[in-house]
Amino acid sequence: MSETIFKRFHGDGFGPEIVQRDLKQTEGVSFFGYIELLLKDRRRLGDLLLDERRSLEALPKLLGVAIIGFAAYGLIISTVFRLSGTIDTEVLKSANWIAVTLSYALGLIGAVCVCLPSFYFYALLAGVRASMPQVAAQSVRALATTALLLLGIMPIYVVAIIGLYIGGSAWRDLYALLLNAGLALPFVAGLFGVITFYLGFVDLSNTLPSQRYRKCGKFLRFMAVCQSGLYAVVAPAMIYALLNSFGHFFSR
Amino acid sequence: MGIGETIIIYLVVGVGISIALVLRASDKSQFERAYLATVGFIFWPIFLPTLIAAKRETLIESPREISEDSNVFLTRISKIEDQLNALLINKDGWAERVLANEADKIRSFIAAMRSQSQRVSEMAQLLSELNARSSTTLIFGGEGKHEENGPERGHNTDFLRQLHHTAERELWRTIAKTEELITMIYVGRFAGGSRSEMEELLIAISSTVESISAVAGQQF
Repeated sequence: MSETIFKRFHGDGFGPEIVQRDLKQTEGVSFFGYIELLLKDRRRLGDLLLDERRSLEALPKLLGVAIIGFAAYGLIISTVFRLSGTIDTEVLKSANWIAVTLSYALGLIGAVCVCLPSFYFYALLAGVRASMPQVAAQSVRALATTALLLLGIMPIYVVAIIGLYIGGSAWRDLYALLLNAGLALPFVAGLFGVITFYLGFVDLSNTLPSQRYRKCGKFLRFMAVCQSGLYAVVAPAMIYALLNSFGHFFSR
Repeated sequence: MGIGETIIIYLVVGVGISIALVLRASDKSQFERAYLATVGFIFWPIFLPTLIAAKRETLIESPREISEDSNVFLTRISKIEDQLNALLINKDGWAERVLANEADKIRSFIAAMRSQSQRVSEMAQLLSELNARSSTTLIFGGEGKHEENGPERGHNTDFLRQLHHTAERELWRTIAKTEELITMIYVGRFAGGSRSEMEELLIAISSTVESISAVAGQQF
């Protein structure tokens, strides 16, 4: 049994393309199913999130992926710092592993909570008839993508750190540099998340009729870039603020 | 208001939203409900929209959009008709002479486009009524009375929606092809052009119109 999930409009003037999916393939996707979709079939996940009913179902599961990914990153990075014992940053000196883990997990997701009304407003301004849950689902999808990528990068990072540590004094400078660079890893992985978010937003715009799409296509892309930029500014500020607060709280 | 008060307000709202999420997920397992309560409590701004969003099945066009689309079709068809009529009057170029030979075909073609547009609008109207009816059922809870007819009715609505999309897509394609033909004639008048290309396009358009009429005839 197949179901027409939504109508995707083309900007080429040849009218709408009907996107059909098999109901059996998309109904009741499990938590691991979403991880698989994030890794293997992002296009299908994007199509699925365009359906509001499915985006409501996907939201907690994608958020779960993001929480696990960021928490794992926080644990690993704080362990690496703890074992290395070479922390130069004032903020990190006072922070313990719980503070680092909480700051990254809450900061990266909390930044979406802060930006969500703006994202919705931008979408409306660009003329996209997306509902608030759809915008939330697209944002959380970007977070989940970042978290998964971060989990993929972490083993490589840890191996590189251990390798440089074993290398001894000859590699000391590079070791210190790489150690500090670990804190910026979520932002490196975040670039991919930002791209996913941008593509998700452009996907939402594909539901516009072709005439309207042609009229406001450029503005809409500009709005998508603004949204991504806003998150890229808010997230580091939020992590820094949380790291500071949690650091003082847990060091008492 | 300091940071302490802000946090208290944030957490109070979080408690409310996590309770609402748990109540809504009454059919879920205990683990899922506990998870929803926790994440809803901490990240309530993400879940708040899911609670206040209206219950909707899929992205279904509103009646306003349907009438808007229908107007767009009619406007474009009228414009095409005017342009083709102007071309039929003018018999200077070879392209116009080709068109003059096909005058009857063009008239029937415009009529077919109009009837297809009307058909699309009728289907859209019907779908809109069906959607309104199903949302009324959802709001006033009349679902249980005719529950045995639910899946079949849903299937028929889906089928109608699919037919509407197909007809609409075909109409868009025909309109775009006709506009391409008109621009080709203009180019041909001033710059010269391939007569065979234009004839090919004309044949393609008439076959599309014929197929539309045939499909419409089979389905209704």
